[in-house]
Amino acid sequence: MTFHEMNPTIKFLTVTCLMFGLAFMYNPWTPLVVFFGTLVLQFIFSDVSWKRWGLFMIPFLLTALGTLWTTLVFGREASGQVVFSLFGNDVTEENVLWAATLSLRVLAFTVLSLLFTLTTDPKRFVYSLMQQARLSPNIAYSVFVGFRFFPILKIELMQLYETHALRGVRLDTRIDHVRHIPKLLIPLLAGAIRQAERIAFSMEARGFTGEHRSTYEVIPVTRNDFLLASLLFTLFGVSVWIGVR
Amino acid sequence: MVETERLAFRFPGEERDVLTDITLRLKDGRTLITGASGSGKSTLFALFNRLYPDNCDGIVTGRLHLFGRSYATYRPGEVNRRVGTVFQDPDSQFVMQTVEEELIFTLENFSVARSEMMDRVSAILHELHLSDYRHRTIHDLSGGEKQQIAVACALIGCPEWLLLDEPLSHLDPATARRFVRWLDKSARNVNIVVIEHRPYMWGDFFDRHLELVNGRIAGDGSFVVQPDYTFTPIETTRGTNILFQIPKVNHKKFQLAASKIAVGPGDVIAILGRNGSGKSTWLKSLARHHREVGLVPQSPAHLFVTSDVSRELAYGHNRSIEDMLARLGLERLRDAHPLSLSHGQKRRLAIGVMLLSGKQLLAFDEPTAGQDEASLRALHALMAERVRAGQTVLFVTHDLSFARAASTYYLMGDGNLSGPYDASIWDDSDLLRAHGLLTEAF
Repeated sequence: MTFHEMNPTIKFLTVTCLMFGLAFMYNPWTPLVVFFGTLVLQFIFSDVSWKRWGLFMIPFLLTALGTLWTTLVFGREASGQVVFSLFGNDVTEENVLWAATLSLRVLAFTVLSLLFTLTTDPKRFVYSLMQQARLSPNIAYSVFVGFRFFPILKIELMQLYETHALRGVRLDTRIDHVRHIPKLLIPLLAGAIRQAERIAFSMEARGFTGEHRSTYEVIPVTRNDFLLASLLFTLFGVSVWIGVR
Repeated sequence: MVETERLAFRFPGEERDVLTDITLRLKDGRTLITGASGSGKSTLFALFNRLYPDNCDGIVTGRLHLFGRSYATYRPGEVNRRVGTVFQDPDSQFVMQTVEEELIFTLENFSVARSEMMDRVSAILHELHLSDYRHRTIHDLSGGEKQQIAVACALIGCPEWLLLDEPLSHLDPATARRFVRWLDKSARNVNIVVIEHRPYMWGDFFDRHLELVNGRIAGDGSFVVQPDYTFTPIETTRGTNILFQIPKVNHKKFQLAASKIAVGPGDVIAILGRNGSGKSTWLKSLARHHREVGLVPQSPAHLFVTSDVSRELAYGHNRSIEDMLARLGLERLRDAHPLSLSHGQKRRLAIGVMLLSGKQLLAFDEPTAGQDEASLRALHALMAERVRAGQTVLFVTHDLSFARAASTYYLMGDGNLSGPYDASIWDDSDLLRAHGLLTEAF
């Protein structure tokens, strides 16, 4: 029983529900418990590379710190006992609690999202949406084509940059590259549309109509999925109880 | 399979018919369809597998029967169970990541029971001698391998007919020939229709030959093996040599050794080699390191940075463009968007751009891929005209017939450039075979 094997649609719904619920909790303890609880569950029920997890965490950690800092310094006037003073602003107890709530909420959202993204194979997710959430195959297979499309588009973009550099367009720095993007959009789009049409024709020629298909990759719903989901919900319940107590 | 009587087809909003008065009966066996670009070959194909008229709201008149029933009585996708199709571009006909998933995609479309799928995948791969490819990522395969997988994806549905739309146009001669031999051996129980500009690649593969000219059937008879088009060497007048040095290039996948070529004004040089030998990388490196080299990429549209022809020609310098517009025959198109031009016009514009920015050596990357005879003749004439005007022409190709236009040759094999050779290279079949280039006729 791991989060990797968990049905992606159920996992997605559970994580979304938890995040939605978190948005209504105005105390620092709930997100704090969710943060550490999710880490514990992730540790027990998955083998996520913690190095990757840490790298993904960096930008969000900075966001959380930024939130903490700005809410402390620029927080609105609040009553209560003054704890300490920062750059001439008095920071009250309420300010501190509020800042902690906001930044911990950012962290709790992040660990939940990472729990989902790091344990979910995008292909399995799309298959599961098709099977459990009745996503139309037309949309699902557009996503699959998209997965293949981006590397091709990237190669095309590199080719455009190369040939344009040969024409004397100045492309020395990264800013030059960014500034040149508007000139590349039309040729890139024209190429992409042509490619997309060809792929669509090829799909139909292979009998794809968007209906009456059989499926090879069956993504099952098992008892374990509900077990893991209820673990997450229990964690949330406990965190709410600790928070409002 | 297909029976038509006085069939005509028109795209919505167009005045002219693409196909006119087509009366034909496709019989079992192997049929070749030839015709120039724009003669309606691909449109006819799209009517055979019923992608048209539904996908373009085209207007069909006359009788069109598929397997004894009018085309209008079929549901979308129904005909495609009996007709498999392989398209020209190896890169835009796959949906999934791996070969196995791609094959399963076809089976799923045909509502094959899940328990049968693995057996059928194994069976088709075994039958087509492709079992080693089962778990490969399609993106990493070569063009020839991709076309083989495309055939497998079409045949796994057990169609009665297989349509191939210029399947060889991106393949080098050795790969193309291997593909034809493989198809000849593997596809014994299916009727085949092929569109092809250059039928000589197929040897005596076909039984019947249909020729389209301007949307009409101009010839219909049994297939006769014909030689490829021939091109005469462009007359050159060599001046003093300039030496170009091309430094070593280290790529992730392969290495390009340092090389040098001696080039005289008025020279025509061909760089020959198989797909993936490093020709194009070498050419880009040449253009990057020498300001006097003007690169015309395989799709000339990649060069264009503005939104009309005259601004395109005037880009980056202050010289007058009037003379160049006249010389290239683009006066009437001065306000047209560069991307709206025909392929030949785009190429002319690209050359104009190069000449105006003072490039003396015109370097073409695979200029012949997917081109019909008229377009190849136009390219030959254009190169001859440039050489007479004192410029040097260099092109990279695996098209051995067109390569005869050159007078100096270099060979590229695994990142190593060798040469120069003169026309006697055509007698050295061992050397050519070692570079994946075959000269003997079928």
